[in-house]
Amino acid sequence: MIIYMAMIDNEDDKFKFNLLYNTYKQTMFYKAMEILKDEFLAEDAVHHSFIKIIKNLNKIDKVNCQKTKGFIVIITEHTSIDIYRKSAKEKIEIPYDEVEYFIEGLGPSVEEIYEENNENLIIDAITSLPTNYSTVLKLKYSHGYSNKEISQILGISEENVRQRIFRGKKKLEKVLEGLEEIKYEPV
Amino acid sequence: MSQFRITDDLLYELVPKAEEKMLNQIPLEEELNHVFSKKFIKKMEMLIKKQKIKDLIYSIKKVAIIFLVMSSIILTTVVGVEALRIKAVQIIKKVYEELTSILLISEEDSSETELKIIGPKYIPKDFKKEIVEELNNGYIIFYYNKEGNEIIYQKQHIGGFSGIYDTEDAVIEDVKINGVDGELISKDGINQLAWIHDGYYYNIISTIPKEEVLKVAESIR
Repeated sequence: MIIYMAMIDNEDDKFKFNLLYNTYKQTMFYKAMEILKDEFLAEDAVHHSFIKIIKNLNKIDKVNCQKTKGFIVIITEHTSIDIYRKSAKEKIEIPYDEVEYFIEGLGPSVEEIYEENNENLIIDAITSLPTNYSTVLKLKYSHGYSNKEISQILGISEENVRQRIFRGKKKLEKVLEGLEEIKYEPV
Repeated sequence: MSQFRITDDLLYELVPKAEEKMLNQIPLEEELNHVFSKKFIKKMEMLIKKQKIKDLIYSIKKVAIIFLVMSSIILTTVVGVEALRIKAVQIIKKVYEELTSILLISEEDSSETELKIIGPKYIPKDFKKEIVEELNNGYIIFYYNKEGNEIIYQKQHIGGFSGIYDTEDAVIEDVKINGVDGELISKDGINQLAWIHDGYYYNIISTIPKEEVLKVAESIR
């Protein structure tokens, strides 16, 4: 009789999920708290985010890198907004697209922005976008996912993805128009 | 009218920079120090354990395999094929008991067998069958309740079984399941019950009390 002992050849493969948990759990809780402002709900958001991450483990190569950190943060933001919508404090469930959730404290104020050059202006405008728009824009334009892939990652329809990208762009234009008006207001 | 035209090219260029800026505003992981609740830690431990099992199963196909040839001493001390299998498992456990976890694969007979997926007759009331994972000559069923508690049940033909034992700081008891010898391993509120019977390896992992785990095991026919 022969007994084989199988060795996992790559520690990262074996413990990728465990490593993700240990590397990002505090960051995820921090982001969830920014949106939910409730420790119990924020922990719930982190747990549900990890369930979503399991379904997308194949999209994560290296655990310790900015790209992965960005992806994890996006998942956490999306999950947190979902929980926010459905939380008991709200009498009616708010459709996702009607939640224009701004994370307080992030991004410069309008007055700080208007002095900058155009590129920084647009970057800051993007950072000031509502989270439910910026998550989709980041997945598409920073992480390079297709609309179909984004719909699978976030668990929403492709049509929904297209709508949010469209609305995100429109919102961005409005934000920039708003800044422009402030910039060129007669003294 | 805005002088800004938001094109895809512009977004491909600037959204990554915006994301970088947003990520740099988050404090470093080591600077954050939230103390997670016991409930959260337990839920995550179960999730991690389940994922480890999945990772190990999927990795088996692409790993380097080290052969261990059993010493002839074992062959002379057992009678019958069933006893040989049990003895071999016990000896492997003894040899590797210092490790925090061991993975065993026995491949006496690797031919495919038709295995009908049947769960235990008894599962605690509030648990629902959520995931069924088919393996080579075996399967794993995952049951969950509303609180996120979990029962993992595995049945594997012994001609290709894998057993995972996390033995560091664990309490290990010899138990009987309908007269068959088994091992109950308890650690941090998680109970794992493993036994071999009639050519199959059985494994139950859960946070439900030991008595309930035994009840689930005894309902398997």
